[in-house]
Amino acid sequence: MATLNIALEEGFDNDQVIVTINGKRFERSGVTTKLQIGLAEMFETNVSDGTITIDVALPERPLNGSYQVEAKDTVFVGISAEGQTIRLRHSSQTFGYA
Amino acid sequence: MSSDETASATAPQPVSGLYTWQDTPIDVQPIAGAPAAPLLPIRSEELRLDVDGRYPQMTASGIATIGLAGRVAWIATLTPAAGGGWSGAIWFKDGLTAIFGYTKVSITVQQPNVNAAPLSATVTFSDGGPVFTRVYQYASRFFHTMNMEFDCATGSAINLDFDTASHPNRPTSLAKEKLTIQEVFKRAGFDVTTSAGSNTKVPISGAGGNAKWSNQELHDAMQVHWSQRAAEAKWAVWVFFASLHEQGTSLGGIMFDDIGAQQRQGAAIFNDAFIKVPPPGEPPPTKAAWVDRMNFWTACHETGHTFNLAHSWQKALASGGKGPWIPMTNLPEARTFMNYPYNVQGSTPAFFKNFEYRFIDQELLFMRHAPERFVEQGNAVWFDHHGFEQANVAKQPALKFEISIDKPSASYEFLEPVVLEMRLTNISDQAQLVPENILKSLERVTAIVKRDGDPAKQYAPYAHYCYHADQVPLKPGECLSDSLFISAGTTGWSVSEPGYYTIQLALDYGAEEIVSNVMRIRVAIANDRDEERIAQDYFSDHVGRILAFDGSTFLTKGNGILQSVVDRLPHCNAAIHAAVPLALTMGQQTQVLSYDGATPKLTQTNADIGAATASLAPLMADTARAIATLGAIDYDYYAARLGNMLTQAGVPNVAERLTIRGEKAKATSRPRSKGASAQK
Repeated sequence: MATLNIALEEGFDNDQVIVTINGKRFERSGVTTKLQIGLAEMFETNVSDGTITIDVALPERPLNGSYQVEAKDTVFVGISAEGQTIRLRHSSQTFGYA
Repeated sequence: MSSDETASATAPQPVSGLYTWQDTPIDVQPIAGAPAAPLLPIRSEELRLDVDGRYPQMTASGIATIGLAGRVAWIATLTPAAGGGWSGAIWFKDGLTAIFGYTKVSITVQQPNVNAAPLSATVTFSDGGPVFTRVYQYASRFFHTMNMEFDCATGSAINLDFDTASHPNRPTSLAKEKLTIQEVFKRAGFDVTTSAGSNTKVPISGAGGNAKWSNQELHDAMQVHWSQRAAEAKWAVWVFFASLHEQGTSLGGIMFDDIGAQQRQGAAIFNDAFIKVPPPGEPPPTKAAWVDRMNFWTACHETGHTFNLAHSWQKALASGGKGPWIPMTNLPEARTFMNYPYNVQGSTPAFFKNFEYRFIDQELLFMRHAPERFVEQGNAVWFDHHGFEQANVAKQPALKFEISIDKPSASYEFLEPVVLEMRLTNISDQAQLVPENILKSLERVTAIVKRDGDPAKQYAPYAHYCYHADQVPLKPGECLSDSLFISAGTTGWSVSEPGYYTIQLALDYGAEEIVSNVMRIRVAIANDRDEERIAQDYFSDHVGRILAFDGSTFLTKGNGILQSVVDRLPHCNAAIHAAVPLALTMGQQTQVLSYDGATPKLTQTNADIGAATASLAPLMADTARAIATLGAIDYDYYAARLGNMLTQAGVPNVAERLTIRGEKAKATSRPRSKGASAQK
């Protein structure tokens, strides 16, 4: 099992955000980036090791994207809405905010 | 001491810094036969000259105190001038810009010799107005003063400095020194003092049972432990060192203070967050320096946020109606305290390889030269808590500006409009020339209304009136007066909800400001549910406009609401106010433009004197009460106007029921003596 740490980062302004990880749906509403740290909110979930699919949708804008990430141990995923696209980054190291 | 301060006394002295000007009398146009007299002489202005010294921005900015709001802020980009000094175009203005048309400045500095501190700077404003020169006295090599307080949670350390030579990954040109947070901001242009209240140990119990700080807990700790805390904006910041935020190790620091009216006053650094963990490849001998460096960067970064600086990749971002002060571009690769070192190309090593421990130029421009309200910690809602308290008051005023009401007490019923009397009196012993319509036009009047517990609002009338600028002599003791319906304007209803209100006005008299007395009024709660129901429609733009313009044939919905006030609340003072525009509208023959398809046509509406007379019942029922709520000036005006209308309509018997007190004009556009006005 791996731990997936999802961070909703830049570009959110009272948005509804739906993150689907290997078919498991996580929905957040009122997501707003705290501009002084470039982060809106974070949550964790456990997934099986291996390739996982992360689908991100902001139905009210509308924006969506689909990404694949190799999961092992702990993976940090940062999701941002940049203009008309969703950007996803991932790392085995924690992202730093300040 | 900073490297600047240790400069040799014989070294060339920078001329950059703060210059001030104040207390120069303003000559007014003399009246024939009367000696010229200074009128409201006190003003103060500032000049920030930024052409040399540390990180020069080749910029000048200034504050001109013109009018009540006080201030026109201007910024110009400078280049060296051929004959010495600098000149450039003014590219930014903020405040009462309409009366500050200048677009160019030329500046020279008066300095005994290059090794001596400057004495003054002469600024010539031109292009956009008569050429105007002002001499400012040198005040400081810094652009602002500010105070920093550094406290920590029990078990955590305060880290104020960093040895720039301690880590080998640095620019080759970087000075080797023990750099402090205070020095970073001194180099940004601030005369930083460290609070004597620093080094307070804040009990970790403030973080709750988990010993990790939430934003609310941080805010609470600031309220309790920051010795400089005040419910006002001030150039001061509380920097707090703790172990961890409740978000965990991913948060190295935060400018947590986005709660309440005064924001951006507090920042926290979390010593045990990711900033404490060197990357796996960091050699053991430099691990401690790596941690020191990240801690120092975080402290300066979070403190930078308190100056309203955004992250460098967010410079152009607008969110929630808030955006950059001037058009900007994102700079994700910038080497500044406001960037994340680990997010640039090449990550942290690449960042520190050419980071010079400074803010970049666009940030320095903002910190040094943007209007203070954009930058100053805690500066929030326009005029709230400050307002006219900051206005300059003349030492020996020649004119007195007063506001009053004609009610026996300053208590207003729910729904009752507020009408003030403005009075400008010559209190000197010499005649003064004043614009005849200075009160009537409202162009020069600024009014602030603040309900207790709410932010202050600047009243904006529905209309300004343009009058010929005739000047009239005002003899000693004489006054001009006019009324001001202050309840509603283009920014909505200033007075509506029950509660206590503070009202203050100021008169822009050229380059001067004359501040009125402060008036406190109380608005009562609704008497019954019927008043509450009517209020839902009453506090609308339509009703406000009808009351302000004494009627409308177009705003029929508003007329219906006012008619319901007359019909359902005849005992209320609001009915007296409602009666006037309704009667004036219904009692006159009007023509309404409408369209039949694309064809315009004028439709004539006949006067309905019966309905007009009926609607006047609340006004005619109790003259004393009508005068009190309408104000004597407006009552006299309405009585005369309504009386003429009724007489011409053939109902003089109704007109006779309106008590005419003798004055026909709505305002005293001609001077009158105190005795004449005292009859009200």
